[in-house]
Amino acid sequence: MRYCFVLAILACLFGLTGCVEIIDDISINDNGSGTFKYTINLSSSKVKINSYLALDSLNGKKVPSLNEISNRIEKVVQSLQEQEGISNLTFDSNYDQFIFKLKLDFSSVDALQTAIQTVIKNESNKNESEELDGNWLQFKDQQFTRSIPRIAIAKIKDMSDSEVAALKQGSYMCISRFSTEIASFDNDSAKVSKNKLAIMLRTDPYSLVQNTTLLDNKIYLRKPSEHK
Amino acid sequence: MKFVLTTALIAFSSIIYSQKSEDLVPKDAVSVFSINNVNLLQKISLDELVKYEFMEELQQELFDGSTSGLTLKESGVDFNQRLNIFQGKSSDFSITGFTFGIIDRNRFFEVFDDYEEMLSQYQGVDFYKSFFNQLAIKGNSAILFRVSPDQQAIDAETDSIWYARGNSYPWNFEDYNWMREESIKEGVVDSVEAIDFFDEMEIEEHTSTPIDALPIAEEDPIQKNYYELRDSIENVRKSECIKRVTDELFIDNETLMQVDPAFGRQLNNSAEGAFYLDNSRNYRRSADLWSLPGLSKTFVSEFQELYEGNLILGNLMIQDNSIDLILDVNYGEKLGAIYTEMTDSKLDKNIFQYIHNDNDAFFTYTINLRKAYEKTFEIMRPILEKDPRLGNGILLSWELLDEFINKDALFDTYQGSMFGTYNGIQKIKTKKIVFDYSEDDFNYTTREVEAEEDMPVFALGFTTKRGDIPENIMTRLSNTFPELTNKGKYWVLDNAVLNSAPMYFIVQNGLFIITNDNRLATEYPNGFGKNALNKRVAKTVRKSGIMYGYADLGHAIEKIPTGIFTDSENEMINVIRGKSGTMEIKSSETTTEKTTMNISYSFDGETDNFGTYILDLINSLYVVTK
Repeated sequence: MRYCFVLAILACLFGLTGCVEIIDDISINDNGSGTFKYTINLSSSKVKINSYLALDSLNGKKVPSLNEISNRIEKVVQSLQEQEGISNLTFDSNYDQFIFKLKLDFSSVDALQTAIQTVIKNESNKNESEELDGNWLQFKDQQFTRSIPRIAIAKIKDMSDSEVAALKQGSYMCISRFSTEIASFDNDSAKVSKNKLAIMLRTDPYSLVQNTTLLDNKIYLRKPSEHK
Repeated sequence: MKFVLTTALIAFSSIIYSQKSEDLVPKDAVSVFSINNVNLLQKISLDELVKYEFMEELQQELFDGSTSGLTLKESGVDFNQRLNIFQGKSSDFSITGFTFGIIDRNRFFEVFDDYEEMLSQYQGVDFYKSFFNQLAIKGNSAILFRVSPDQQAIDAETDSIWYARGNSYPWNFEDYNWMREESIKEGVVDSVEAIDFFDEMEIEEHTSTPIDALPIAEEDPIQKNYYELRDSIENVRKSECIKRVTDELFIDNETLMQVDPAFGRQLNNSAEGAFYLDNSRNYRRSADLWSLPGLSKTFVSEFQELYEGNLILGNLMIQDNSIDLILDVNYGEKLGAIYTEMTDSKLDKNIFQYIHNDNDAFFTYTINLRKAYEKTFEIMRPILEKDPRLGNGILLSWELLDEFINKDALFDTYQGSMFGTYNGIQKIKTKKIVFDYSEDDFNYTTREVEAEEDMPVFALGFTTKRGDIPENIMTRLSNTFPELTNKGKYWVLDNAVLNSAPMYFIVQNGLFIITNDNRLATEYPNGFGKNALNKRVAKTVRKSGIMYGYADLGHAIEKIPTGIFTDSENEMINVIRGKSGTMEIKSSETTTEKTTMNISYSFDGETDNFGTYILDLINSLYVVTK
């Protein structure tokens, strides 16, 4: 999940997007397994993306071709699929509208987190990464804790004003779903669905990379005995 | 009395025979921009100066902490001498640099502190050297230059010595083959290098971190040795080139001023700046072209003769609120004959109906393509006949095509007149996908909605007597491609521009127009009517020979999004970004000797910083001619 967020931020870094919409959707079963869905929607910027893709280089950086981008994404997806505890992975890419959807099942949030950490480290050729280490996902005793790795902070400093402005126009939606009702939560900006089984936090990518705690949340679920 | 006369004679002689900066321009300079009124540049800071492309590439390393915050005036430069910026190419090397006057050497070397003095081989000339550049000072004039020997010749010489000594092939092809196989496996047949686009997208010339491509001896001693040999050869050849340039300048007196009187004449007026470009030498030295297999000396010589006298000379003059650059494009008799026939054409007045009066920029161009073709055939035929081995085949093909092709249809379809307009940035309609959320469970569904994005709007049109031919082509294409549809007065091709916006084709009033301007196609397919270009401007355009161009810089340049242009195109655009005013390009009637182009750069408001505008123009010319 966070890895994909980082990917989206890096995509912005390379000028590939004006307005990005990201949906980060995680469903957790009572036993800690679940489904993770991550969607990046760049359809409102497709003119800009296509114009950039037509260039050889932009601001001194080589612009990858669509073929190179899709090959690279496939490689990352393939690597993710091979991680322990990850199954049923699907990846849909729509290069006409620039919408990318990742969906996978995980055996536990620990497995999901480890898989993401491993893939990032492999891809960046780093065995150690302070930004990635630590627990961003925890599910224990009917409590679910989420946070954001600090890697995004370092990258935003390199962005131009126009890239920053573009990020401000985007949206980042973080949804957590459970099979048990939500009892309470720590982040005041969060909103609970009417059926009380899902909670949503929404911000824009710029605010998020400026303050990576914006989407941090600790969600307390009702214990089975508390259900009406 | 005798003393007075002697003193006066000496003083007069020193004026007449004193070294001037233009006397140090090497004979191999192909283009020179000479600024006469250097005072105009007094206020330009060195920090500002180095930002220009022509300075950045030539002498960037000169500008460091010691130059920061200073102006040219504070650097010891003599403002009573011309500043001549030149670049050129001989058969063995390329050369760039500038010549200028020095009034205070101490101050000069305080500011430009990277130079160390060298032993001079020439009487009365002091020599200095930095890592890349050579500086020679004679009297109060200096030349600062850099030479680069022909890299292909150095490669050839290195290879020759390398293999003659029994060395093996210096390159490791295993890596290349492995990468190639991987690329083919992954379907990336066009890309040899596997690109890590998240981490390694910096390209070498822009990177702040040097790419460690140089071989390490322990890893590959053969390759390292090869490079060392090549470096040695390059250093020797470079020294020879420098010696040749300085011998010519300081012993043989073979300067551009001496070998080409046209250069001297060009500088012999009071214009604030002068431009010189010997295009004939560019053609003569196009080694790649003349080394093509099968070209005989006769053919090469005859062909080069075509371009003899192809000299572009310009004068830059400052008016109250404008800078005018008048360029004379001179050519020889044969080329002149072709150009005269080619320009025997009048601009189709229907074009004006499709240029909006409030446009940000437009150009028109008119030639008589048929006459140009006929004249070219007439001139090229005897040249080709002189070299039967090469010429027979070409002539046979040409003559057969000439007989069999319906030239009436061809040249009536594209006659040679065209126009282009830039109408600023408009919102264009596109589609985007949005996600709708259910408040009950935050499940989401997708929906396609209309959206708007900014896009620069262009129109490009050609005059045609045979509108039925493009109509027929589009009719046939529309049967195969459903995205192309006939809307009556125009055709539309969906998602043609950046896979997002439609492109329109209009065949009306003897014109074939391609545009992404929705308004032009749907509301004004017969022209803008009363909103079309006003008659006064239209009259100026019609009188302006082969071409006319106009741009409202304040509007046009600022609105152009950099993202849609390549880096080199952006370089050209950036030099005038941030300026207000207009630029107008007109051409005179073409004669057998020359065509005159007049580029007028008019600006509003402040006129106390002409230097910036001049440097903008120099930079534009540098980028165009490099």
